[in-house]
Amino acid sequence: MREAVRTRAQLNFFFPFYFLFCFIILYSASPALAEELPRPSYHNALIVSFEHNVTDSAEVELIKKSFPFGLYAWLSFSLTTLTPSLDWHWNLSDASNGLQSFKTQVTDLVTKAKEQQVRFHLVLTSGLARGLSVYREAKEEDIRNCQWYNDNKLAADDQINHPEAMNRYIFGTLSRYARKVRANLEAKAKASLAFLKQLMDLYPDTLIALSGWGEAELNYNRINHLKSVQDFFCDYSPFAILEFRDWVCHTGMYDDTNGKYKGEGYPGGGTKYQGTAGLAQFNLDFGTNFTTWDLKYFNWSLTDDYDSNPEDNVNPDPNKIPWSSYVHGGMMPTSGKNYLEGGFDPPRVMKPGDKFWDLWNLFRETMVANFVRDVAKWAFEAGIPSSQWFSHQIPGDYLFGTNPSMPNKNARYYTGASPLWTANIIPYGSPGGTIYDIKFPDWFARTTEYGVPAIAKMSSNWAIMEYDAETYPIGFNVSQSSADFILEQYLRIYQHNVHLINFWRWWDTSGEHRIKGMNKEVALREFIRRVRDKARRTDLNLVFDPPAVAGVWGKYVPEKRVMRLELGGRIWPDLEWMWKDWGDWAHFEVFRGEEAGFPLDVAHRVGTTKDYVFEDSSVVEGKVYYYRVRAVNVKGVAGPASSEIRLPGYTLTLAATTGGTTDPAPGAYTFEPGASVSIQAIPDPYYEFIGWSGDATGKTNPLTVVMDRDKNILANFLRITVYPPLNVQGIKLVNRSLAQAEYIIKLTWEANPNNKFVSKYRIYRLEGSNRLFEAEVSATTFEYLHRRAAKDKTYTFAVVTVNGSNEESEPAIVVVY
Amino acid sequence: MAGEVLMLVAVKKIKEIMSERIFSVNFILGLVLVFAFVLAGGAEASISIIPRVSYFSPREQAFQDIYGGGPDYSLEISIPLWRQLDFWAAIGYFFRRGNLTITQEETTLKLVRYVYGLRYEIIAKKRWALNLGASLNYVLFTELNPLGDIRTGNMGYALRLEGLLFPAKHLPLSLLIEFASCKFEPAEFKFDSGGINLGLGFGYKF
Repeated sequence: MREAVRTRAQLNFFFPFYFLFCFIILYSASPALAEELPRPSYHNALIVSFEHNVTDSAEVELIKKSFPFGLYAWLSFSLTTLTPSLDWHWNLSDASNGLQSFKTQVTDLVTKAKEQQVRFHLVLTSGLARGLSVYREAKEEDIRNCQWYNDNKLAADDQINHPEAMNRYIFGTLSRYARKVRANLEAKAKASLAFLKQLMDLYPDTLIALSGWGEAELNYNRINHLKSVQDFFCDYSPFAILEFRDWVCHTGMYDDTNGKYKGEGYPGGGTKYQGTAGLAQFNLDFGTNFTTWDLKYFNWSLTDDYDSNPEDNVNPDPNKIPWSSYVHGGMMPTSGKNYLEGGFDPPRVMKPGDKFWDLWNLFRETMVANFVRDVAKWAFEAGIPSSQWFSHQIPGDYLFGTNPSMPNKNARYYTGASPLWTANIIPYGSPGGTIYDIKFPDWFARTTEYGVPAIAKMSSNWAIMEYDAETYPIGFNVSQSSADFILEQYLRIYQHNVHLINFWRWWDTSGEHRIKGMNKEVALREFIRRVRDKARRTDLNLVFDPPAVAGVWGKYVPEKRVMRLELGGRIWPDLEWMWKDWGDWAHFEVFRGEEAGFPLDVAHRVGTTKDYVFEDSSVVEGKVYYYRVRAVNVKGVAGPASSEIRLPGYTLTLAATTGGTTDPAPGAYTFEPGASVSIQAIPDPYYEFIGWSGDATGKTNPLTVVMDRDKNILANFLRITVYPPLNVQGIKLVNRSLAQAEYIIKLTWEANPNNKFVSKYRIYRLEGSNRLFEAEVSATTFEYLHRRAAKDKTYTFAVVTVNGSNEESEPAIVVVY
Repeated sequence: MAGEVLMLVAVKKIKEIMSERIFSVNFILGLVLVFAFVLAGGAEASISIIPRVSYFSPREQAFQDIYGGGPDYSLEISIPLWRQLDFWAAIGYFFRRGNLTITQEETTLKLVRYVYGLRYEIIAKKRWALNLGASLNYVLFTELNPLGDIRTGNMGYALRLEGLLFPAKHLPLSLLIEFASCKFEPAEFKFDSGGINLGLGFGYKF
C-alpha cells in the first residue's frame, strides 16, 4: 500500500515534465505550422522607392519592366526634397492660400505617379537646416533667427563675404524660442500637411509615405577637418540660449503649469534652480559662477513683442538684431548694453564629461529632436497615419562605422547634434534615417553597420532614406563590388525588418550613387525577386500556403465537347492581385467527381493547369459532374479546395444597362440546382442603380437568386446621382491697390436643384490632359478665387459637385481668357 | 578691441543712412531752410509757423475708390523774402487704410511731403490778407498690402490760395485751398497722388 502511494506521488511529480517532453517531441516532429498567404497591404509590403523624377515617364516605364515587383514589393518613387515656402509677411491664418506653388507642384507629381500606376514618397524640408533661402528674409530681419557658432559668428571667415552666404551657409535656428519663425513654420507646416492629407485621401494607393523635416541638425558648414573640432559648435543664438535656461529651470515656455511645453523641461531641473537661490544651487551642481539668470550676451525676454502680426511689415521687437547690425567677429562685446557681467551663458568649449558641457550638449540634441518631433505631431494631428510619416535624420553617432560607445565619432556628430535618437518620433510617426555606405579604395565607411540594427530596435516600421549600398566618392578610383556582395548588403537591411527603402539614386551623371547599369541594378533585381513574396518576413525560405481558390465557374462547350472551367485569376476576389503575381505559386489542381462530396484524391484528379482556364475533354455530354480546384505552391503544398460546383447547372445570364456593371460581371454562369447566388449591381460614377428586371424585380442590392431554372437578369442604371453646378462662369479680374495689381480669376456658380445632398464643391484646373486639384469649398459657397493668375494665359477650370459619399458630378467646364 | 567694434558699427550705420534717398531730400530741404533763415535775419523780417489740418480729396478715381479722402497734417514755416514775396517750407503727412478691390484685403497708404515754395501777397489789410502760392513737393509714397510693398518718391508741384486772418497781431488764422499733383508709376499703374486740400491752420508770427 505504502509502495503504491509512493508510486502515485512519483507519477504526480513527473507528470508535468512528461507532458512537456511529449509536447516538445510532437512539436519538433511535426511540419512547420502552415501560414496562409496574407492579403497584401501597406503594412506587409516592402516599399522599394527609387530616388528619381516620377515625371520622367520613359525611366519609370523602364523600371516597372526591369524589376519583378510583386505582392509585397511595391514600386515607389521618392522626391528628396521639397520645401514649402510661406511668404514671411503672409497672413498666417490664411496660410493655405499662401502655398499655391507648393500645392501645384505636389499635385502634379502625385497625379503623374497615379497616371503611371506607381507609388510616391515625398520628403519635406523646413527651410531652416535645408533649403536655406526660404527664411532669408527672416534671418536678415533679426539675426537671432540664425544659428550662431560658439564665437557668435554666423559663418566661417571665408564664407561670410559670399553674396549668397545667407542662402548657402547660414542655418536658421531650430529653437522654439524663435517665436516669429516658429509661427510661420507652424502655419505653413499645418497647411501643407492638411493639403497632403487631402491628397492621401484622394490617392490612397499613390501617395503612400511622407517624411520630414528632412535632415534637421545644427549647422555643420564650418567643419574643416584640418582644424580643431572646437571651432564648429552651434547654436548660440540668444533664442537658443534663453530656451536652454528655461529648459533647465522649467520656466517660460517650459513652465510646468502654464508653459506651452510644460512637462518637456530637463528632467533633472525645475524649481530647485529657479531664482537667486536656485542659481546658487545650479552653480554648485555644475561648477559655474553665474550671478544672474539673465543672458551674458544680447539678453532678451519672452515679454518682448515678437511681432505676432507679420503682415504689417513692422517688427516692434525691442531686442531684434537686424542683419545690418551684424559685425563679423564683433558679436561678443565686453561692455555695453549687449553685455552682462556674470550673465548666464552656455559653455563655449567642448568638454565631454564636464557636467555643464554635457547638459548643454543634451539640450542641443533635444532642440533638434523637438524640432523633428513637433512636425511629426502636426502631421499626426492633420490625420496622417503614424505608419506613413517618417522622420529623416542623419544618425550622427553612427556615421561611417561609428557607434555611441566609441570615443571618437565623426565630426558631424559633434556639430550636427543629431544623434540617431532624434529620429524617434513615436507615437506621432515612425523613425527614418539617411543611412548609406561609402566605398573608398582602402576602406568601407559603413553607417549601416551599427546604424541599421539601432534604428531597427526603435520600431518595426522604419525607413532607410537616401540608401546606397556603396557610394563611389568622386575623385577616388573605386571599383564596384560584385552583384552578389551588394545583394548581401540589401538583404542585410531587409533582415532588420525595414519597411521603406529610398534607393539613392536611379541615375546620376557622376556615377557616385548611380544604380542604372551598375552591379547595384543586378543586385536589386535579385533582391526584389527574393523578398517580393515574403510579406516582410525575414525567413526567405518561407513559402506561404495558398488560400482557397475563389470564383470557379464552368460550362459545357458542345462545339469542343469539353467542360470548360474558368478560374477567374484573382487570388482574392476584392483585390487586383492575380495568381501569377505570386512568385511562389506553381499551378492549379483540378478534381472531378460524379457525386457530390467526392474525395480529393489522386483518383479524382483530372489535371493541372498554369492558366486560368481548364478544359476537361474526358466528359460525356449530358452527364452531370462535380468539380473542385485548389492552388499549389512551389513547395508542392496545396491550399484549401474551392467550393464544389456542379456542371452543367442552371444558367444565369447577367446583363447591365449603360452606367454600371454587376458582380459577377455580365455574362452567362452555370450553377448547380438550388444554389443561392448573390448578385451586386455596381453603378459607374455619376450613375445610380434603379432596379432589376427580367427574372428579378425590385431594388434589393445585393440580390440573392435561387437557381431553380435558367434565369436572365438585367441590372438597370440611371444617370445621375450628383448633378454638376449650374451657370458656372469665370472672369479674370484685376485686384488692385493704387499702385499694384494682380489678376484673379473669379469662378461663380449656382446650386443644381436636382441634387439631393451636396457636401461640397471641388475645383480642378485643367492643364493639357492633367486635372490638377485646386480647392474644395463648402456646399454653401458659390465662388472661388484663383489668385495671381497670369495676365495673358487662358485657364480652364472644372467645377464638380461632391455628394456625401465623395462622389463627384460630371465637371462643369469653364474657360477663362 | 571694443572701440574698434563700435567704430565699425558706426561707419556701417552712416553708410546705411547715406544710402537712403530720404536723407538727400531732407538734406536739400534743410539747406534751403538755412538759406531762408539767413535772408530773413538780414531783412529783419518775421517768421510764421502754422500747424495745419486739411481735408485731402484725391483727384484719381482709383485713389478715391480704394482709400478715399481724409485728414492731412502739415507744419509750415514761412519767411518774408522781398516786399510781398514770401518763402515757405512745410512737411505734410497723410495716412489711410483701404481695401484691395476684389479680395478686400487691407492695404495702407502713406504720403509724406517735403514742400518748399513761394507765395505772393495780393491783398494785405490790417486784419486780413490774401496770397497766391506755388511750391515744389517731394512726395514719399509708401503702399503696403499682400500684393507687395512699394516705397518710392517723386517730385510734384502745388498751387494754392490762402486767406490769413489776424484776430491778434501774432496769431494768424489760415484758410487754405490747394491743388497738388505728383505722378508715380512704381508698378503696374501710373497715377497721380495729388488732389485738393482744404485746410485750416492756427499759428504764430514772430
